[in-house]
Amino acid sequence: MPKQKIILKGISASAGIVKGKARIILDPFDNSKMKKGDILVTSITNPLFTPAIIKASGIITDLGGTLSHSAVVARELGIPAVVGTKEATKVLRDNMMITIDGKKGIIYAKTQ
Amino acid sequence: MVKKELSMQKLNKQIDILLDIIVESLLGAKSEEEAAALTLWPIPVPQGMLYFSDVWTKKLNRVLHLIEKRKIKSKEILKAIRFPSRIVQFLWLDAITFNNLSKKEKLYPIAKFLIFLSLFRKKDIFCENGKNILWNKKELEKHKRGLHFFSGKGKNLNKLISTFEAILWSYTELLYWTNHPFGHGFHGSYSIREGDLVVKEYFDLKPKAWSFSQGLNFSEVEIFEIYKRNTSSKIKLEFFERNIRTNQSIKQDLEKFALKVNGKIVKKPEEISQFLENLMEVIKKGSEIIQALNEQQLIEKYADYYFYAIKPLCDLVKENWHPPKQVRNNIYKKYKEINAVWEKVVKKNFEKTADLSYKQQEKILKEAFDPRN
Repeated sequence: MPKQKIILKGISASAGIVKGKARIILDPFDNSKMKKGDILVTSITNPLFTPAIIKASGIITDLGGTLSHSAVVARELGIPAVVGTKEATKVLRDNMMITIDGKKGIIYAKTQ
Repeated sequence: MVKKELSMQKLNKQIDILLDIIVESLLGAKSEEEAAALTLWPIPVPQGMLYFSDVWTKKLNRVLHLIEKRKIKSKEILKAIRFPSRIVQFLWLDAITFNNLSKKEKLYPIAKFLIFLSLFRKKDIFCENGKNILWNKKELEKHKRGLHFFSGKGKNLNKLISTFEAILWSYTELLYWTNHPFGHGFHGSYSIREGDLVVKEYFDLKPKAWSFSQGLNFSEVEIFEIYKRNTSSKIKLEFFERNIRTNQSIKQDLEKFALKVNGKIVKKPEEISQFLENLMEVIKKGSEIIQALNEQQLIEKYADYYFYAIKPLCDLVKENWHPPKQVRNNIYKKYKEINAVWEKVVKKNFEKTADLSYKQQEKILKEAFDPRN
């Protein structure tokens, strides 16, 4: 079984563990890039990201804290979220298979 | 008429508590390295406030004085306000504080709002035990009567209600930005025979300020959620009606839920799916419209809905709630002048806070929001 390596840490915003493909969306105009089950990776969310959020299995942001829009909406949806990672949009790549641990505020990726 | 005035000593104590809550909330919405209030969508709160907070606070003073002068009963005032989350939002103190008005003009509305809130919340203004109790037993029974409850245990229905709520929340943020409690209010948890009840009310979902909102098929949603009794440790509503003391989603403990849309009891899950579909369409349209607005148009909308939020109070004394001409003048004729204050003074000061310690940021923010300064 492939090992998991910690690639990012942030603030625990919504507990839960989920595995999925990272989808980097910096501008809500690109919401249509999001596929059901993808993990939304963005700088910070706002209501314009709603069409992407509704398809997300998890959320990771560069900015924001436990009271930010991303955190509140993720808890409401019951999906894991890690916010305030500072550099998720730089470190992660589209289609990268990652695992979010929303309780610990950690993002893992496979290593072979 | 509100007979009982708060003593100055009591008011000071309550403002101190408020400032603690406000600053904790502001610092909790960002990571440590971010400057306060600058990442807010679509414009930072203090930037917009510069154009209208003095005019708004003056109008509010006038309306509240008229209400007092005309001896309008507390019962009627509460009935007009209907949803206390509106006044809770004013108690962020930003609009009331971020201007050059006198201390008296700032403190008068704060004192009044605290009295109204005390009446709404059965004297527990700050929700000290983690409960926001608005209804007594009789009122609770009245609201629950005839409801059709769905099981919250099944994966599909749980997902449906969770999604509907998350999207409703987002929609109120689309309409009212950081002032989303102008469109929702949460209360409870009420200990009832079946478990712990949380009530989520969404209202003013079709404000005239936004033409796109008229495409929505409903303007009010009331959601009743009953959780397993032991979930109450995770449900702790605070002053601003948020369940923020946990990073846990409580949805897995949802036993059952019921909805009223525009006062009508929802009986089929398909109806919820249809409401959700309609909501997503309106959000899509609204997003396009908001993204196309320039900064001045955004500030104008901000002022429009902020004045609209005091409409229930204005209606009581038959005052026009719309922003006076002076607000449009500030936005369109004095834009450069006011924006310079934002860019060169306020924004710079906020940006500087990013390099400071939590304690230092706390101190600066408390001073900035304190109406007594």
